Amino acid sequence: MKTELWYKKLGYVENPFSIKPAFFNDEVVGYDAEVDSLIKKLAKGEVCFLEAEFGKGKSTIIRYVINEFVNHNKIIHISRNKSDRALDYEKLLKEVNSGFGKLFGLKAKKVILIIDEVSKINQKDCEQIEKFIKSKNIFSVLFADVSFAKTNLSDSLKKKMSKNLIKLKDLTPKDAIEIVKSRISTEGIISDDLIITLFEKSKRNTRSFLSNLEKVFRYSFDNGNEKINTSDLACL
Amino acid sequence: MWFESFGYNYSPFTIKPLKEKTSLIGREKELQDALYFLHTGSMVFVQCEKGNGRTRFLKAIIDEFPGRIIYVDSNKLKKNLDIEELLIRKNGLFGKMFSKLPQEMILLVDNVENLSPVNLERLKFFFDHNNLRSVVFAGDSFKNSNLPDCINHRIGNKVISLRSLSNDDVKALILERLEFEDGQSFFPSDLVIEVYQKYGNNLKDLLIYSELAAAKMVEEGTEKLTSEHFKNLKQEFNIMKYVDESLIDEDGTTIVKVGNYYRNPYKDVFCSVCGAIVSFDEAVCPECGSKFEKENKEKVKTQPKKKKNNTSKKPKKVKK
Repeated sequence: MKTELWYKKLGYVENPFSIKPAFFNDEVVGYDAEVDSLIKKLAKGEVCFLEAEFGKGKSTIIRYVINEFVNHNKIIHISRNKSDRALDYEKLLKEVNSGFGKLFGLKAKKVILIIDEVSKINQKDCEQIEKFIKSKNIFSVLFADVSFAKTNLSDSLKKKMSKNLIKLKDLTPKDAIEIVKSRISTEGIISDDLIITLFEKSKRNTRSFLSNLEKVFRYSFDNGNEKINTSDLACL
Repeated sequence: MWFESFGYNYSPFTIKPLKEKTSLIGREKELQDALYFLHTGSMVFVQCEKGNGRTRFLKAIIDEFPGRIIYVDSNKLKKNLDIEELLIRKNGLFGKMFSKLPQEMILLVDNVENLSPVNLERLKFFFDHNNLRSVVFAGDSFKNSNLPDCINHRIGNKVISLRSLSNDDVKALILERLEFEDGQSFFPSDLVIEVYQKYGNNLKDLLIYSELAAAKMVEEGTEKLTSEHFKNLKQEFNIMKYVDESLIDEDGTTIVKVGNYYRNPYKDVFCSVCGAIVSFDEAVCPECGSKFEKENKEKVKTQPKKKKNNTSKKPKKVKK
C-alpha cells in the first residue's frame, strides 16, 4: 500500500483492533469467572457447553482454553460444519496422537475435544463421542455455539452438561475500556467517554465494537488527527 | 480478424478480466479500501452488478499479493468448496506430504451467491486460525448473498460497492485499450458514451457491442465507427453474452453455461433452453421438451441461440 497504515504510524506492527482471536490469544476481558469455571470443569473431565451470540467472544475463549491445556493434553479442535456427515472420531484420535502411538495407529488418550458450530451435530456424532468418553480416549468436551437449545445433542450428553452450561453475558462499559487499553495505549488518544459511546453504538457486541474502533481510528488518523474526537464517530 | 487490420494482435475489446493488463480505471478509492482491509486481516464483501468490472477489480487485488492468493470462481467449481484442500495444495509438496496448512493466505471467492452457506461456514475456522489472513467475497449484492451468520458478522460493515463507471472513466478506459489519444481513435469518445448509456451503463455490454460493431465496420471497409454500426446487433450480442469469457479454459476451449450444464458450443450439440445433450435429428428435447425449429437450422448451426420465453429452440452444432 502506498499510504502508511494508521496503526503503523502509532508504532504497531499489526492492526490492534483485529477481530481474530489468533492475534491476541492471551487476552480474555470481562469473562474471568466464566473462563475459570470452564477450565476447572474441563480439568475435572466434564462435558461443557459455551453459549454466546455472534461476536461475543466464544472463539477467543476457546483459544484461551487451548493455550491452557496444550502442554498437558492432546487437543482436538474442530468445527462441526466441517463435514455434512458424522465425523470419524477414531481417525481424529489417531491423528492427534504423537510418537510411537501415531506410528502404530493407536488412539490418543485423555484428549480434550473442542467442537465449535455444534448446531450441525447429529446422533451418530454423539454416540461416537460418548463411546470414546467411556473408553477414556476423550477426557473432557467443550461444545460451543449460539444456542444450546437448538443443538441436536443426545439427551445423555445434554444430561452430562446440565450444570455445565456457560452463557456469556454482555460486557460492561468498564470491560470495554479495559479491552481498548489491553490493545492500545489510549493515553492522549481516546477518552473513556468516547470508548463507552462507541461501545453503546456497537450494541455492546465485542466484535462490532472492535470493527467500529478500527474504522474510527483509521478515519481519524488518515485525516491527519493525532487523537480521536467526537466528530470522528460520524464515519460510522 | 477485424483487429488485425488496425495492427492489434488481439481484440482491444476482449473480455478477459483475469488477464487484463490495462490499468484499473475509476476504482482507486475502492481498491485502496480493499487493500487496507486485506492488510489488516478482514473479511470483505465486494458487491457489483454483473459486467461492471468485478472480476477486473479482483485481478487488481491479486496483483498486489503475489503468491499469497487463492482465487476461487464458484461458477467453475465442480464440487463443493474444500478450503482445507486448497490450502494444503498451496503449500506445495511439503504441505501435501504432511497435510500442513499455510498461514496468512488471502482467499478470493468470486460469484459467491453460487455457494451454499454450509460451504462457506467452514471458512470461519481457517480465518480465525489465520491460515486465511483475509477473505474477499465477490457477488452481485451483499444483502442477497445468502452468507451464513457467522461470516456476515465477521464482514460487518466491510462492504465495498462498485458502481457503474462514470462517462469519463469509460472514455479513458476505451482509449487506453485502443492505445489512442483522444480525438484520434477510430471509436469517437462521444460515441463511446452514447453506446455506454444506451446499453444501461454496463461495461461488459459496451465491450461486446463494440467488438461486434468494429467487425462490421471493417467488413464494410470503413475506418471509423458510427452509431450505424451499432444497429441490428441484438442477436449477435445475445450470443456473445452467452459465452462468458471467464469460462474459457487454459487451452482456449470455450465453455458456456446453458441451464445447469456447461457446454462447448463448438463441439457439443445441445438444447439451448436447458443445455441437455441432444442428437442432431431429434425434433424435441428429451429433457425439457422444447421443440427444435427447422427454419432456424442454419442460424443455430453457427452459434448458440439465446433462450426466449421458454419457446422452442433448435439444437445447434457448430464447427470451428
